[in-house]
Amino acid sequence: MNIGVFKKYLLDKIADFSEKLKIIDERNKLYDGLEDIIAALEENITTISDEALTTIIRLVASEDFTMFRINEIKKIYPYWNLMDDEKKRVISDYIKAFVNKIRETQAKNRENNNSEKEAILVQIKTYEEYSALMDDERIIKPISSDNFASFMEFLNEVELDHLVKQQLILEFYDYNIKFYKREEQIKKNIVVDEIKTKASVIAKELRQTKEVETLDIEGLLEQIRVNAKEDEVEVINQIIGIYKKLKVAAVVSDNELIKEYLKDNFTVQDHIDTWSFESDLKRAMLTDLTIYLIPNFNTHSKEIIEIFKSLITVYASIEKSSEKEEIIKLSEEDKAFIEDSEFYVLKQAERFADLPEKEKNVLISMNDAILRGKSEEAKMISPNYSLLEVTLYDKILEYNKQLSFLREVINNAEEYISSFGLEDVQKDINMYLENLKQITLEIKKNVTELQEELYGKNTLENANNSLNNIVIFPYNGKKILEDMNAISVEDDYKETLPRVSAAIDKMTLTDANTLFAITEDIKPPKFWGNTDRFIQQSWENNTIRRLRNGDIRFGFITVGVSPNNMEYLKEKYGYDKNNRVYLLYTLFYKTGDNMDYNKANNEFVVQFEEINKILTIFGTDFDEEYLKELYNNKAKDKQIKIEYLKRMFGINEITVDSLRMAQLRAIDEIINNSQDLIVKIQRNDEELLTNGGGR
Amino acid sequence: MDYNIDDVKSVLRDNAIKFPDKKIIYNLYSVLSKLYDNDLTKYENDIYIINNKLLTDYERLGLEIESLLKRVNENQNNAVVREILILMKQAYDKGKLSSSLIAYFKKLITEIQIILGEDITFYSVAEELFDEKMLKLIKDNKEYKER
Repeated sequence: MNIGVFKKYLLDKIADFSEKLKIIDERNKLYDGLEDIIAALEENITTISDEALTTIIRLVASEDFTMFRINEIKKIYPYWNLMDDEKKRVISDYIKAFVNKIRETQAKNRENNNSEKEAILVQIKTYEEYSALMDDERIIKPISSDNFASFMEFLNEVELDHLVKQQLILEFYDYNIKFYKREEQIKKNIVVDEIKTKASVIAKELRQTKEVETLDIEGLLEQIRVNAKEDEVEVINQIIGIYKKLKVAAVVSDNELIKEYLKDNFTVQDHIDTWSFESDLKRAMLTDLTIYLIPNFNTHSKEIIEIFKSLITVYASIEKSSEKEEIIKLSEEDKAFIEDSEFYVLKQAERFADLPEKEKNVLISMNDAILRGKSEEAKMISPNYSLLEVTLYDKILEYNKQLSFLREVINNAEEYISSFGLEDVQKDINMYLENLKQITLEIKKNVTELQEELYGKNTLENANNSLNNIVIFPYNGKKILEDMNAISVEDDYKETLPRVSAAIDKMTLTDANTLFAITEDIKPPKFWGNTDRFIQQSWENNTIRRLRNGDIRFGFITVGVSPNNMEYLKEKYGYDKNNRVYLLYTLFYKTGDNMDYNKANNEFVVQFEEINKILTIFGTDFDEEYLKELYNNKAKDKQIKIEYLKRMFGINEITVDSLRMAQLRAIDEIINNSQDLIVKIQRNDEELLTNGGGR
Repeated sequence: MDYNIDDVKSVLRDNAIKFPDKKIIYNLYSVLSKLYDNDLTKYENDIYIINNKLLTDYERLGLEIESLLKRVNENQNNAVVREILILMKQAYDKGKLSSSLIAYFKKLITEIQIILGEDITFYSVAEELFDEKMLKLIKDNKEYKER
């Protein structure tokens, strides 16, 4: 209630200030309008209307300059040529003094106006800042602790009922204390997390000193299963299942003590005890199975079956307790935003990654100076960094901080909700998300400015003019459809098409520099094996790049366009020199390791014939010169090339015209087929996916 | 470390000794046998460097007491451990701890960490704790003495 009143008060004030700004602007316009009159005053006073003269005199009215005198001058001015020199001098001196006085006054007024305007802008900024702290009903953001005192002072002086004011002060006070308490807690938890991670790294290192001898456990298990008695089969089968799961989840630990203690010891309780001795139950069980139980099964099957039974019970209990439900779920959109922005910021952070700690401190102190409003001082700290870079570094740190706060709250939502309540936690999460969005925007702006600083503004502006890159697919999109279907099994099928569509949008609408920045190289393999030399060369010339959207990864290359084709594309598809043709040849579900790269690389070889065909069609000018070159070629190579062209274009005779015709037809076909598919994807046409709705 | 693997094995095999004590001995020995003759304080400091700043012993204890308290609050089975932690917190909240109390608290926390299945962090007191614990168990346990 009170908050709503306060918000309205602030908004009204902002509106008032905006009105004042308008008046000042009007005044400035008026001054500009007077410039012509002043110029005319110097030239010929008679041309000025009485009205304009009145306005001017009002500006500078004093004993020296009165309407009466000016009118007198105006009256006798037409007889200028008849006047003697003395009189001319007196009049022109008077006009000069008059003009000077006006100019002086104008300058002074302008200065006053500008300082008034600046003061109002500062006021508006403050009011907007304060107004952003709340929505119509409640407080949504804390006041930074540096500004708290001045905000309270401000609050005390607003023109509202004193009871309302007192309640507002209490509400803000309360909110701030609660908020910073939460933030303190989050910070502390993050530190504790860091400590625990380091401790577990040390503990892990201690456990893995040497390779543990491993027998063919799965073979042994199979043997045990085959030889098992009827009543044991069920237990053995379960153990096989558990062993397989454990093998993925844990590693065998190398501990002298466990070896000594369990050697020839098949007491059920001792085994259960040892599992509980170790901090990681799964690891202990796996070690026990691998080193003692399975290899010794044949000699002590009776005792070991009992141990197996206990193991199954204990394992079931830990499986159950590890199933934890997510309490707070982010929307798909937010998740996608976080993934995208994190990747983007990570990319930007690369430029600072290799700096030594000392240099990073330099950046931080430079930023402190900038924040204090002393940019000159900042420049003096180190000439190595531009102010833009310093700000970018600070923003990246801030981004990471906010992101870790957000993750901490989401991961431990249960704990925070129990201490602070669901509503507050949800509010915090929204605030962190908002902050992240804000910072990402600022980082993007900063990066653009940096690029402008480095490469000049024009190139970027041109590139942004009309962005209509062309995305094409090999095999008329058949392969891509297969990939999409494969993904929609792993991924939620409903997300597949929108994600692919968003990625294609990114490729079509992003300028080449930015696309380069938001994607990454997929390096060709270090060992080529017996890959064809021609493929290797093409591979090195056409760097594969990887684009991410949601959980889907896209592999594409940029297709070179020959000058004649460029003209054709320009005419028919509105393509210009800043556009690119991208060949999107594969997409796959994220696996989180190098498998991503392998898939993109493998597909490049598998589809090479088609990829090479497309590269040739777009990148070659089949003109006289080309034919001359072709026929001059050595006999063997020549024949192969000619056959290749004939087969590719389905023509019998090689001439400039026939080639050109076939080439344009092929270009149209590739682009049109790809466009058809893109339209279907954008329309979210679920018929594209064979398993649509099946899950 | 004044005891060898056979001493530890005897403790583990002894039915009169309670499970938590066994677990503590087992874990401490596992760590110490690997870090024999190493500077254990270095391991502890590595853990407690946060943003290039080495936390003080007082700060370290504060963080651990709080995080352990949170852990036992979730689980009602740990009433005794919780009581100990609350007492420690009360002492801690007075704002200052003597160096002997710091060492004592570190040992207590190490024991609790092991019992709760966490990785230990106070490496600086691990060896002393192990020796004290072994001595106590052997002294308390008649059967072992007569062995």
